[in-house]
Amino acid sequence: MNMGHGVAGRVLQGLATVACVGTIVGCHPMVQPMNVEADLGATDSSWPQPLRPGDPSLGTRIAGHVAVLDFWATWCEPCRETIPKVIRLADAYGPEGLVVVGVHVGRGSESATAFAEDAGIQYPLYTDEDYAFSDRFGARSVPTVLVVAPNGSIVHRSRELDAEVLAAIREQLTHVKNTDTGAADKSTPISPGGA
Amino acid sequence: MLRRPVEAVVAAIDVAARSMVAVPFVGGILTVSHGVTAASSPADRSVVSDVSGDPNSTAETAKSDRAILGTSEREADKSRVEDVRVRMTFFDQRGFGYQSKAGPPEGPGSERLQVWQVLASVGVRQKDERFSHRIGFAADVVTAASPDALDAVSSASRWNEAFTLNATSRFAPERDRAWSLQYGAHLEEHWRTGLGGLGYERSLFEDNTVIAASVNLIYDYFDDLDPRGENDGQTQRFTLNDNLGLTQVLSPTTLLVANYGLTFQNGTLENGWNSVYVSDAPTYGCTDDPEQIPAYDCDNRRRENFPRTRIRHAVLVQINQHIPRSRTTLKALYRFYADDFGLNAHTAEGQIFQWLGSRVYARLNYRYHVQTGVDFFTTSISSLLPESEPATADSDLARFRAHEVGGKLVFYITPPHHATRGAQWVDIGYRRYQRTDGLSMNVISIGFAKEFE
Repeated sequence: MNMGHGVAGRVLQGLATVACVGTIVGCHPMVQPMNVEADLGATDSSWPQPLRPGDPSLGTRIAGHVAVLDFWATWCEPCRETIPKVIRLADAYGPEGLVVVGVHVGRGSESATAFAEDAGIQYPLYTDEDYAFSDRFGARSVPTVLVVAPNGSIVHRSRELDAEVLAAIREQLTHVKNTDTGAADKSTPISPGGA
Repeated sequence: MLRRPVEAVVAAIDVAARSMVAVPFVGGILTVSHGVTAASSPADRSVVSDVSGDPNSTAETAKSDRAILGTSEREADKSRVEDVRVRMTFFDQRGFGYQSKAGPPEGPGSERLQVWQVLASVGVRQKDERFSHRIGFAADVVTAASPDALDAVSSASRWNEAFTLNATSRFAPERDRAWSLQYGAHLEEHWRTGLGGLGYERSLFEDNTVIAASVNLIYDYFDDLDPRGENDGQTQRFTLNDNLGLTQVLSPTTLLVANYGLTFQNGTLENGWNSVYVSDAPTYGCTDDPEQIPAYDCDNRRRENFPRTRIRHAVLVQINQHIPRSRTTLKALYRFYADDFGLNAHTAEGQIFQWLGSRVYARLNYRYHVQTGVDFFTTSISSLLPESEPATADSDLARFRAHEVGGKLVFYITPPHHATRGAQWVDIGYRRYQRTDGLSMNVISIGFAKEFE
């Protein structure tokens, strides 16, 4: 599902966008159904690397858990507005088993690290410099928040952390709590590349 | 969502971030849409209540929607102030223009002008979060050698005050669309202005495209002064302004802004205290009587005269490019202006925004402007010119070129990405404006802003 990388892809994207703006109607987003279950077993190098030393690999961190992935960038103002909410989310539901991670997209790992320190981000952070990971999971704008089930399925996708995201998280946590599938889910082979 | 470009007073945090709210990543796909699964129905919530507690409870538990989402949800229990901004600006203008009477009768006269301006604005969001308001107040204290109404009767510099109250109310029924209503008033010694406007904004394609349209009506009601300072009663003008705007994300770090504005004016468009030298006027009373001030008491100047209507066009194209690695943002702007007075103007501007550490950024800018001047600009007229014929000696409407350089430093007291506190910053800026006709201006500004979490 890695689509349109490189300059040509960007140019095509721009042209398509301009064309759509010109016509307004008849231009629908091309949606790819996303499911990371298979991709969690991926071994290529598209998986993001830990931004801070000592953080576990992303695949290891989210495997078998209800997880929230927050795609963000330092230069994105709405991302900054979202981060305090993500911090509170991690504080509130971390003890319930929710795994919250941030994925910084694009270059600027150093500034992202400084940013995270200023903002008081404690949850694990990863860097996706070439957008490969975010492309893979269809997170093509920032902020994007994904809720991932223990089996690797993306169960909810949003441009912000809102009440619907929270509802999806609660549903997943309840499901894990009320069923006995957690062990089976955790057995899903995880091998994120580069980890 | 994307925002239309706003004045620097608003753009205080990361420049790119202010204007690029949702940014697409790479990939050959135009955009993507939401959700694979949306578990947000009331039934869904009831199922999970044992994990979350009651998410709709008013109790501020750590797991409630309100506790996690802060006050951004619509169930916020009261209206609140979102931010407060204050700015003080000092303008010091020097130069000469033929419309001014503060000089020899044939001109040019002084355009010396100093202005102290205080600006304050406050952003308010209602309990129903779809409604937000920005209320602005400006007070100008002007001392001028010539160009304001007071100096139509006296060459001495005097103080003059002006006050403006302006508000914009915004209603966003959906996340991707918003209506705005603008209204305000301006009051100074001889001049009253009222304005009202309606705007609509729609974001498309996951906020990668924003289109906006607005209509504004401005009504000016003012004393009809002549160059002698005599008040000929009241007069008025109407201005109808229509704007179309497009903001388009071109790449993860590139933003295109394009605007077109059409303005129609009707009424008294000239300023009564701007005058034109009459080269063949009788000199009686001008130079023979030492008790009189020639420039004001003789008939050698006639008030400027404009056509009753004016149609103005302006097109603006701007590209913003953010460079994440160096935390730099570049902005390039071009503006073309034309009106039916014969005035054509080209303006090009470049800006560089550079973060210096995590709490300071600097802005440098350069602007070049060239204009042709209106068809009826002249430094003198004959007394035989019919009074109905348009004529002006206003240096602002003459042919000239202008350069402006400026810089600004913004210091964050509380950084813009703090987890629990709103950003707070001060800034100081300087601009130097220089025209080829000799007019120049130095502008110094100091600002303070605080956002509330």
